[in-house]
Amino acid sequence: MKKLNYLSVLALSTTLMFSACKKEECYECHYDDANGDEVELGEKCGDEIGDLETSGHTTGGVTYTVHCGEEH
Amino acid sequence: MKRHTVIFFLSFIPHLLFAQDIGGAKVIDIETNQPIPYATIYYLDIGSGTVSDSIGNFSYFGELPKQLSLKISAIGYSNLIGLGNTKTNKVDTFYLEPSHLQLEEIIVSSLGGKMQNQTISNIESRQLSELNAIQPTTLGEAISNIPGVYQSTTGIGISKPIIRGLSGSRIVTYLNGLRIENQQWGGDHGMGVDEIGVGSVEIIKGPASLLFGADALGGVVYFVDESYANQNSFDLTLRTKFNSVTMGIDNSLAIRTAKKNSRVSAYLNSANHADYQIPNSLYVKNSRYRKTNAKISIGFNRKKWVSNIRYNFLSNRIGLPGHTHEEHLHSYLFLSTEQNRKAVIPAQSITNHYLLFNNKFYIAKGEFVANIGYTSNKLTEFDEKVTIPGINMTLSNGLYNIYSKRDFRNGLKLTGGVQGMVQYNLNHDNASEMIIPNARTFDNGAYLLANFAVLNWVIEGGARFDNRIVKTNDVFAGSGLIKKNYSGFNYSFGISRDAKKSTVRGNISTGYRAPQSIELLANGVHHGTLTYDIGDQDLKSEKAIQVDVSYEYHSEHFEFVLNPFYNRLQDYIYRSPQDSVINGLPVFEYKQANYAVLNGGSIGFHYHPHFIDNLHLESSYSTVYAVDEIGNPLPRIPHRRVNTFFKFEFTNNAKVKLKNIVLQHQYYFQQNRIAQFETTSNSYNLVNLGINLEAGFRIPLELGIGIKNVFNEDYIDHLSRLKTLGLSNPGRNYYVNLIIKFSKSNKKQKL
Repeated sequence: MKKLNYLSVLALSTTLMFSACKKEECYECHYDDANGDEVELGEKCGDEIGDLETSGHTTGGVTYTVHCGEEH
Repeated sequence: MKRHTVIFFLSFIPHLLFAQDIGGAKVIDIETNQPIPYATIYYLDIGSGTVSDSIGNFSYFGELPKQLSLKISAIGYSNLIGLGNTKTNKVDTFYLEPSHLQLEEIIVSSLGGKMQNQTISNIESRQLSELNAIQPTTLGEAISNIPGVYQSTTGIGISKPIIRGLSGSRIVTYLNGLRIENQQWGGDHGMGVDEIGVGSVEIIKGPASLLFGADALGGVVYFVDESYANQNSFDLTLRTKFNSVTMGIDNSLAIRTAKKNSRVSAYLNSANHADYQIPNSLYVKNSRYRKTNAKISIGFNRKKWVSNIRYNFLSNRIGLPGHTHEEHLHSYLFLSTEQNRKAVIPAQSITNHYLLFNNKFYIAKGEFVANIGYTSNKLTEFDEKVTIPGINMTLSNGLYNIYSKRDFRNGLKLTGGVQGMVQYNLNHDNASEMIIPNARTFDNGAYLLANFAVLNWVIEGGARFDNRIVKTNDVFAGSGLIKKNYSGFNYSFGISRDAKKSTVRGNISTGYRAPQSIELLANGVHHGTLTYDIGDQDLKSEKAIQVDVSYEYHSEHFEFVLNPFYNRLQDYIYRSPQDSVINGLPVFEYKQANYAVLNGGSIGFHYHPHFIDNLHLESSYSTVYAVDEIGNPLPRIPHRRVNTFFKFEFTNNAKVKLKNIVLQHQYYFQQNRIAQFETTSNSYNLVNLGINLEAGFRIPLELGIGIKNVFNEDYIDHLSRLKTLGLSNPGRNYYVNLIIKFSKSNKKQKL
């Protein structure tokens, strides 16, 4: 019985401690337009962030460098 | 035939019943000759132990070496190191001396345990529980309470040890005999060890290449894991810590179990801290960090062999404050009215794996030790993009330390060994930059150490030869492949005299440090420090020679320590700021001065007044004076400091009882001895308060509560890497530390 108690405590504690399993990471992204003003692109997740950071954001025929995950 | 078979098996019954109980011992008060109940007996080589019974008796169980090194401790008595004879029927008797001050701890780092008063240099050994009386947020903060030891910080998440003014690659960190390599050249690369499962720390101040090899020029931080559970027992500990200044939660779980001949300890830990708050109530943006740690240790013993396998995993994600695209810097750019814990960039991601397999074999009149280990440190720094790291490197190390120790009749002990490392630095393809190339480093060294103890005197001396080869694997930043070869000869000689009321030590030791890859080959952006670093392939090895003396006076109620030192570093390598900018970042070049000198020391006392039995007053003053060859101060030298503790211990048998109240006052003097491009740092006072309680319920609880920086002092330490941004150190911090411990002991030893 005591063994069972220990095991229960162990299982419960481990579950609590590591319950925050790895989730897909999401970040706010933006670019600076031609006037230097910051244009928000909203929250992007997963591969979309990689694509934006690699290829940038194109609007009006102009491609801008995108910054994600920065705090302002 | 059947009858013979029955007799044959019956003949084993007495053996089964009694043979495993292979002798016993008794713990006695040397003054009253009365037995000491419930003394703790720790088997030094095994890492486990037992507890004496109500009349001071204990037995040896399991397959133990013939002569077993023991540490015996009991409340109100000085620790004792003794040898237990496990193979005779004779009952060993150990006499403990009553003492109100616990003066001496065991030193593990000196190749086999010995008491502090038997060492020839002033090695500081502290139990982590002692350093945790006022709960530190990090392990670095805990050890910075030791005289002569400081921490260089980047917020709260990154802490690097500084010993007598030296840090980075001049300080070597060990964990249970395993050398930790984690790109420690970087000012923003922390210590690489977390507190879970760590029981004590030993600080060797000054050059110690004789036992620890190349790079141990400024000192060694040697962590020792806590012991396994006592033989035939099991315990489970849950611990949770809360810090208000970061709204940080730190949870851990420890499980330890031990049989007669085998033991396992396992630990899990997870922590998450948001941005820290400074005294004006604002928060330092992106000073948040989170970490996950796991550790497992497995030990077993045979009559002539003791072995441990230890594995550590550590994963950190640490925000790097101080990021802006603004041209004109001001501290308000890095501060926020909101506290946040979401992972953003710039940030540092670290994954460490440490594996150690240590073995001790008992041979005639001595022992043979073979330790082999592996460490891996993956360092990824994100600066401008969250999916494309700025730098991404893995540093892998294979390490060995093999030595043999032999005792001679006349008190002479000889230790000879070989120690080395194969290191490989690998840059991963997905990073946008490389700061150092892919390179291999080969370290090999051989040493001989003689220790002679007679009456109260200990004389120790030794010599060591080391060789380091650094080879690059690829062409890097316009340089061809390079191969560099460095050698170093080091020695140490010391003498100590331990009398009843005083200990005097004198020691001369040397160290060498071959230039690291970063110093030779750097040519790139270091995102952690936001600098452009340039190395120099012509750098020579640094050599250090230190003279260290110490005097200790100790009586029943008073201890006094004086420990001055003089350390001269030949061919001192330093990072020199240049009047140029590359990629928008300030340029730093690695240069070499003919020499630098660091001197100073510490003075301290511990007073335990006879008329207030429960009060302890402990204070120390530490100072370092450091100049280069033309007398200019060296950069990043710590403030002079007075560190004072008042501790009141309560003794009662109530179910819920106050264990102790600890009040700490630290005064940091103004640092106005500064190097070029440095600014002075103001003096400051810190007052911390801790209250520790115990509840003896069916499941025992320990509760620690307290306030750090009680008066919300607004200060910037000289060693804070955020000083140049004008960002203050943390403000007032309320903490709670709760420990729940389940334990079970098999009183009846299983056969």
